[in-house]
Amino acid sequence: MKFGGDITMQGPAPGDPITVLDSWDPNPGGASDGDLYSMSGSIYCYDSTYGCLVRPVVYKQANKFLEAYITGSEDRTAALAAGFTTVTTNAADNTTYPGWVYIPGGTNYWLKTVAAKPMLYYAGYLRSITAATTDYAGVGIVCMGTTTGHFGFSAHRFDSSDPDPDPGFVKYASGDMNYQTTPDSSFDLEGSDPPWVEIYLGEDITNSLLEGAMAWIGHSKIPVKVSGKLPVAFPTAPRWLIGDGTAGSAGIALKNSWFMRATS
Amino acid sequence: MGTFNNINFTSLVTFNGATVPAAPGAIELTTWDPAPTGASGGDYYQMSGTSTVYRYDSTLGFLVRPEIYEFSGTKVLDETIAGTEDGAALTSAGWTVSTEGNITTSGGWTIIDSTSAATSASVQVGSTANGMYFAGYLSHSAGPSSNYEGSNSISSGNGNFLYTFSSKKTTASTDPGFVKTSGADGDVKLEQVDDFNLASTGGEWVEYYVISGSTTTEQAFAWIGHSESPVRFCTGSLVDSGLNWVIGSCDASTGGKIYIKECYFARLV
Repeated sequence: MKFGGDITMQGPAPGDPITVLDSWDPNPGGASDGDLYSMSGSIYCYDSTYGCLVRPVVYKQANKFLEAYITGSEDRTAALAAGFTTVTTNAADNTTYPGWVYIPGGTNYWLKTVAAKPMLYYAGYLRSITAATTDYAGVGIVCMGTTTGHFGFSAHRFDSSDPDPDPGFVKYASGDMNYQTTPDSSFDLEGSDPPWVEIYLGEDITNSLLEGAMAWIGHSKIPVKVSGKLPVAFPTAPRWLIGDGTAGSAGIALKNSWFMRATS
Repeated sequence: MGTFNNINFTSLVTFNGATVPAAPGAIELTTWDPAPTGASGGDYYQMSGTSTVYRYDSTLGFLVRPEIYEFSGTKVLDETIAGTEDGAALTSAGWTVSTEGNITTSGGWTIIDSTSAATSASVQVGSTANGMYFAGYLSHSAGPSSNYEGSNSISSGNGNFLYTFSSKKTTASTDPGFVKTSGADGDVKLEQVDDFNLASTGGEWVEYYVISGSTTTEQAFAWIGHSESPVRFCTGSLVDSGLNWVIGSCDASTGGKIYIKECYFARLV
């Protein structure tokens, strides 16, 4: 081989490479555990246990469990096979919104593998289909339930008469539990191409007035929602809940959604 | 890039005169250095033992969180305190100092002692709703005399609120965080573990960010000990029209004593 020109070596050798993603892929080909990725300026780590890119605070956890993964192609039977249970009669389907698991109002699905107060982290596409009939109802939610209580994240926290589609934390069964953490913390999950949503509850969180959950939307570099304002309730049924937790009826749809748990 | 005859081309940047694109790398810091030698704007650094990634901001001159690095407006470094400055030096540097003799230095730290008299240094900066980013070592020594007082704190006034980060919020707990200074707690903990004891040897690297553009409600996050994500969110601050940085006793209360060094006081406009 002929080296016909200058060869210039950088001074310090780079450390772990960071792959900059131009478009989001939660499970990039060739990723290995601990690999660093950047999307819209936010740093992610590939976690081989979960099989997806997660925030560094999730990657550092000790004992990790992937509770369930929804691709968006599942019907009711497949959702149950993925680990969810339900007592509601309305069926989730994969046909009303192709590529999405649609959970109509009045329906919910549970993951009952949660015990005590673990770290819980949801990452995926969450879409608001229909809004609730009252503000801040615990419906149309991805809910992280521990023995502390239920931390609900509503895809549309205001009622259907309100033009504001902003998502955020709501109390179970009802109540505004959301802090907007930046002047630009309003989002819209109603469209067919909603932003990526991540919801995190630290391990051993005990009281939402003093301790709480946080959410990133659209690969925001810092959390754009924090729970608080009201104490959480319903500590008797630790679980993941998706859909309606109470009266009010809201429809949501999910795809590429990971439900993750960890303990120290 | 790979290898050829055991030559590692990982850091090859030009070849036969052509530029070879290099994936950015996070340079691991085994010991924290907020201004590493040779750093260029945008370089990634990762603190050893964590998954926390920083970027070097050439305007501010130190490693910042990605959120700060990517801020699209104007970034201004208002002040620095190395840890060698006493009260007289801070006065010379433009700070307004109360009880100058109670600000001393020892072992590379600037010590602000309000145990017997309220002691502080403040500097007027910026305009309403600027973002404000503090980063530096903070070590707790004494205080508060009563819960949620501000005699052992770093504060930022953004024209709407006086955001006050206390090195120890209550008399009973070691826990640092935001306080409202009127006897009220001021934050939501985003990690439950109460293991941030700033009285431990060496203190902790503390960062907090008052979000740029915040006007009607408190909006600030804090990271402690190179935490991967924010560990505190401010929910309570005094309504205050002041535009300033304040170190020491921000509310004229007594009892606190803090050590600070390698501190950067930056603003995002």
